[in-house]
Amino acid sequence: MGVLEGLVQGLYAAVSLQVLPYLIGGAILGLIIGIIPGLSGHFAMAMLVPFIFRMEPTVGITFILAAHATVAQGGGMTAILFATPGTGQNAATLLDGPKMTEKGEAGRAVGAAMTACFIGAFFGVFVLTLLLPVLRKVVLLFGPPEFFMLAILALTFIAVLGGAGSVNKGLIGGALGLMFAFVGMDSVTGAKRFTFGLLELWDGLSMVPVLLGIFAVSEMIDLWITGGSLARKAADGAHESMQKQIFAGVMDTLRNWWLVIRCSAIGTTMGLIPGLGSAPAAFVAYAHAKQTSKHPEEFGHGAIEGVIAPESANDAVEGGALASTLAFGIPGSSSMAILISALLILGVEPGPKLMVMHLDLVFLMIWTVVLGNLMGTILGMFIANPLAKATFLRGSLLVPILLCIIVTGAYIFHRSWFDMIVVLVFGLLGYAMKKLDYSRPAFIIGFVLGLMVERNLYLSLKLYGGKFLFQPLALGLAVLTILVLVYNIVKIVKSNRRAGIGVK
Amino acid sequence: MSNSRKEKSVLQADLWFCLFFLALLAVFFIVAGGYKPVTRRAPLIVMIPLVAMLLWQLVLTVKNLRRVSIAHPKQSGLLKINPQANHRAFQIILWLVLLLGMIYVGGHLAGIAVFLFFFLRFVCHDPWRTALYVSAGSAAGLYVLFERLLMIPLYNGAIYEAVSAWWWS
Repeated sequence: MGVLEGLVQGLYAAVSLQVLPYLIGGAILGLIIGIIPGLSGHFAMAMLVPFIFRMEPTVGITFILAAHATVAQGGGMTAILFATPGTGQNAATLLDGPKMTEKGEAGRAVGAAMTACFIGAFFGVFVLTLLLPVLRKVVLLFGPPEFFMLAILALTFIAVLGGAGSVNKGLIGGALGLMFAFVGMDSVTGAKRFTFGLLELWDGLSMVPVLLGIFAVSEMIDLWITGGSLARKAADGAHESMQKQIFAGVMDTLRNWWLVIRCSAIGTTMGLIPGLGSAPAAFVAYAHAKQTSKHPEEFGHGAIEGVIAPESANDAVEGGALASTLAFGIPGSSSMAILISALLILGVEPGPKLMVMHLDLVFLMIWTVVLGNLMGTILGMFIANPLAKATFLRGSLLVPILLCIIVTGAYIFHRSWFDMIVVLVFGLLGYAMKKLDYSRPAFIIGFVLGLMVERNLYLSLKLYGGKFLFQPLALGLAVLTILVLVYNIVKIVKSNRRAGIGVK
Repeated sequence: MSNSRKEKSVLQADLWFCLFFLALLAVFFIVAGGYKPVTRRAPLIVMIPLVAMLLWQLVLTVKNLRRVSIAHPKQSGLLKINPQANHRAFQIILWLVLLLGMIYVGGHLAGIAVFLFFFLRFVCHDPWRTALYVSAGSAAGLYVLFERLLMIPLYNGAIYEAVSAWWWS
């Protein structure tokens, strides 16, 4: 089967009466799951696996993938409107999204995010379809030393650019995140580490409660202290012009098309690399947008580019992850691992054979991601209005309700009571970090990448000894890391000297 | 609050932040000493520069604090500067702890309903009816969403667990 034939057959199958209702149903379900804090894309997929056993492969794949495709959109909406990310991948949206809500520009942010999500997803799946034969060679170039250095580069990039405070505070944030990631069973030796006799810490700290604590609880504490509503600085009647704002947001994304393309490319590339996931991609895209912006000082204070960049990247990641999953049978993320299981349940074996024997199925998946995201974008714009009205409620009513939802969200993923304590502890830490200008994004990235850093360091040392840093690609990434660090320190020192502040 | 007062309070908080993490890292160092070299390698690689960065931040903070103290010698410390904000911070943290306690005892649904009712009625001074409607509505919403639609069982609470254990015994 040729590519064009596969493309047409995939589209025909996706919009057929047999498949389309499942595509719409999956998209709605994904959007709802995305809105609920603590429930992620892989939860959506895992939850649907039991339902697909008796389905036709085309129907089952569409249902499960459509749900997964829209989760990030739902999470992006709550990150913007309530400063509560539905999923980890929306953490970077918290840097500017809630600030726009504060200014009464929630609709604009949601419109921009939804459109960026759609374009990002579209970009991801199509570029990768075209580049699959070449990308296989690129992916295989990455071994443990390269993964290790890539993680360090991503962390440095975010620590230096992502935070509002000084370079030192950004790096402290990242290093603290790494430290907390090391709590639990050592993945190499199996020894317990920093668990202090607590059985609940053997598996380490869970991502969801840490994320909810660092970002959501800290925002709720802040809102309670300052008073008012989430849309603090909104002009009167701002909520009435919601549809106009959404349209303005859509236009903002289209106007920033070059930024969307670049950030989608970042997301797609990072999605290809197994284990990196969409949260680091979104932060790297954010840092890239800030560094290349003509007005970087507006980032962190409600810049529209600060919403567009991470949202386009975190949906483009799925294209990359899907490509490596389907073409090589290597899952790029936990969601993709579940997708592989679902495919096997449905009698479809992923890998190079799939690309030759079932090209129509591959394109069906690609169309599902595209159409699912389109559906999510349209639905998201409709539900944004009633959701945004809640941001005008007084904080004293919203804070306790959202705290209950956050605490429940922290519990449900592992159904662990301990996770609710974690959310409280990290909420306090997040509030302190926010007030003292320590980089919370760097903390989260450090936390997400911690175990990957350790595992790849171990493997690199085992394979190459201390010389692993001299592998050509790893060396290039190490040099790039140092350059990023030195360039930004020099830039900050110079600007501080000009302002007469000295080193921060 | 004046800018210099605010700066001083932030610097003092920053000082405590650095000291807290330095103390925590000291504990981590001691504990890590007992691990196998492979187990402690990655934490030590992170901890050593982290300690250096925290010390550097501490030096900068102390320097800035001294500068602010010399310029405004009569200003008070962190806890006295903005009593209202501190009171509200302690209040919400205390209620968060209470929320966890209520969930532990009564389970998610009952704990959240009781928490919301008391919080809205006695902290926010909302009318009885508003407090009742919001608390009952939120608990019902969580039940429908998690238990019915998503089939995720919520925590039933210590009382329920004890009663059901007694019943089945």
